[in-house]
Amino acid sequence: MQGKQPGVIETGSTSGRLSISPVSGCLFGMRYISMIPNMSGSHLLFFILINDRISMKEKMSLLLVSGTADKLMAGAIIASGAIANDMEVDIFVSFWGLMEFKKGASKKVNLSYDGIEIKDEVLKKMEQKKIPSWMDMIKQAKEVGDVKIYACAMFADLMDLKKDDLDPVVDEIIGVSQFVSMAKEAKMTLFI
Amino acid sequence: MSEEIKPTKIIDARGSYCPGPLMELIKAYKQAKIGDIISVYSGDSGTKIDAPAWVKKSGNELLGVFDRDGYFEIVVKKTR
Repeated sequence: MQGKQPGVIETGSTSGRLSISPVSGCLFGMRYISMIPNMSGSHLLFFILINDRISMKEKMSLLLVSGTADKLMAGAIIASGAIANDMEVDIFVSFWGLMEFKKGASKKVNLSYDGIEIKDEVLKKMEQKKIPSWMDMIKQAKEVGDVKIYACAMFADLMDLKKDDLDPVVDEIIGVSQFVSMAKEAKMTLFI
Repeated sequence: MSEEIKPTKIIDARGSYCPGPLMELIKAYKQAKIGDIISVYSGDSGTKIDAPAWVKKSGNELLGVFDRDGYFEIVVKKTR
């Protein structure tokens, strides 16, 4: 959590009066606010770290709300694609998606209604071709790249789920505001 | 595999589908040392396009994509 505390880097004299409107920007993946004094050439730089992870890597954020294997698999595959593009991935899981991250969740592969007429054929081929489960794909993505999975605090509260009730693949339970602050920094956000 | 290229590591990802073989390649790449040669066997059509694109984008060296009997082989040299 050290990333949440603003670090202050002081350069030169602090005696100058600070202007009211700060200059902000992005440097090495960190958001900064620079206060430029009116009177002298010296200045103060306040580095405010927005995320725990300090890096220059681009980010993708995914909202995984659906609980069927096709959607969860789409999330896992897109996360893998993001890693291959050297991106970091934040996945926020809620509702039916979150229910599938419960410890002991049924391993039964359900598909969404969209493909109901070819459901059996798809399931058969998935089994024949030994397609790994979406969970295995997520685990592999986490192993290869920087993928974080966050459970939605609202839905966890609704369903009385604590961190211990969730699969260890889930990193943390966070609120929507924290996720949006991550998504704000992301290059792209997808709702699945 | 042609005689002159000797891979440091061979990944047999035949039977694995997109993005499996590429993930296996990236995993091996991260564990490899500069100069190591990684060879991936795959039968997946997505990988045939995605893996060489990844190699190029990541700034490594693609030593070749070879058609084999029922699969293909992608050979990569870790240069960075």
